Amino acid sequence: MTSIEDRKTPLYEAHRGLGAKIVSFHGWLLPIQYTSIIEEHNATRAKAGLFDISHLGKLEISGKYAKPFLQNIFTNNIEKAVPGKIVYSPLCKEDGGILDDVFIYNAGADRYILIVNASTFEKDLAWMRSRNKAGAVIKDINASLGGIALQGPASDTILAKLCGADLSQLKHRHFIEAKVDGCYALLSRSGYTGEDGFEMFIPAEESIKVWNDILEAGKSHGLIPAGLGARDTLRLEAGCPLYGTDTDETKTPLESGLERAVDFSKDFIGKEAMLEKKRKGVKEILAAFRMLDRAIPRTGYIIEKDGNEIGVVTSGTYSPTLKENIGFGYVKPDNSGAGCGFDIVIHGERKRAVVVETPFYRRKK
Amino acid sequence: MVDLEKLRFAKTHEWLRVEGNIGYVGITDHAQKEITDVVFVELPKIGKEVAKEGEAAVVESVKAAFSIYAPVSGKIVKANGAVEKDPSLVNKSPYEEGWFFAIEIKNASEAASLMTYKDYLEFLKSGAH
Repeated sequence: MTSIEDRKTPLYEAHRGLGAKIVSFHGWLLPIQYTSIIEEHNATRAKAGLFDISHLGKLEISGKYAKPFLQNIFTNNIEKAVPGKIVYSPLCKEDGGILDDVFIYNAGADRYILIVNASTFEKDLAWMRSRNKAGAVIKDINASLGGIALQGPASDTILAKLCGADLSQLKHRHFIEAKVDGCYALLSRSGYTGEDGFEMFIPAEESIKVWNDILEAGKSHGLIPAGLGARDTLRLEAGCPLYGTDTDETKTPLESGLERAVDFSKDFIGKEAMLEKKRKGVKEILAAFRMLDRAIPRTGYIIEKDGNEIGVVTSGTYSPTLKENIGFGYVKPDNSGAGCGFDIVIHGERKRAVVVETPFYRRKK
Repeated sequence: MVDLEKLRFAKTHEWLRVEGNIGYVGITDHAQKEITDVVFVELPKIGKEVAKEGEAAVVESVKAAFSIYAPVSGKIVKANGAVEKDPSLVNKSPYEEGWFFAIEIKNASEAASLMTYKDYLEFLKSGAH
């Protein structure tokens, strides 16, 4: 279903031209698939997939108060974001509830680019403005940039055809400002698929040209466009939680498995609440599980242990790579360790599942 | 090749192929395209009584689960194990290899009241689905 308020990304016409099935995703018209979710998923694992990520929110924080401001609002330590590096951090409220999870790019000279979720962009912006006592300059750069992710083992070879920069020097979760296909690009080695690959933010008006030229350059390497459907199955296999689905404002990083991105050695909004929670112990934890019985877990399905409800599924899918059914769900801490077994109620029947370590899928280096 | 003119269709996009008092059931090409990659099929047990328009099977794509309704009432007499083993048959061959189950038809008038292929195409065009 689409509504009149849905926005088109700069790549919308390219998706239409490719015959994509378009859906409304948090206010954006995006391709869910071009031909087949499984085909697009498998191409990304084996060769390469090209994704429209223009819907991700983009903010620029600058000025001499930028760093203290970011240190205060983010749980992770911004000092880790040396120029050229990307740091991942939850953005939390005073009660520790997660407002969003964000990638912070340190572009040097007191300038930071934040990549936030599409669904939370407006909320994040309002929150940051309300908590900006430090006096950082907060700029909405959302409309000016399109976004493209090139993911999969052939990504390096394909991008090298269109980018003069030495990509071998670009490490994981690092970025450069470079020319791709003759256009300015905020180019990083990063992604949301569990594969090697790149994400780039480019001027909106040049996005279609860059998209088409990458597709052309990648054709002989097995590159195909891939939609949100494949993006979701790929990120689940890679063990990446999705904000709004696997985490939200009712959870803190302690429940959501994001404590590694919380630095208790510094001060930040939500620290007191999280320390208090650490002392008392959390009531639920996000667990990754795979099904032992043949059935597909879906969002909202009930998790039981010995017939008693102990939690709920937040994400689930058939995994095209592993050819088994996998998911995420919140369960009581006693049931959250690897090897713990429980049942998921699927179409009225209890189906057995077991907790596993993430990622479900790890690429061979 | 299946003769689509000989099939009967439900508004919920199942087809019925009648052979004597047995009706074979599957989903239409339109439905398989809407569902996309089928990755799991749960079939009814043989001997189960199903009612017309009652849920009889479940088809799952990567993204979601879909109920398959019995187009007529009766007893399940066959289940297609091949689609359980290879669910993609539903996409590859919706009218032939991708059938789900067969029903011993209780009341022939229920089958007669379903849409013809021509009616079904009109129904799709009308956008009422």
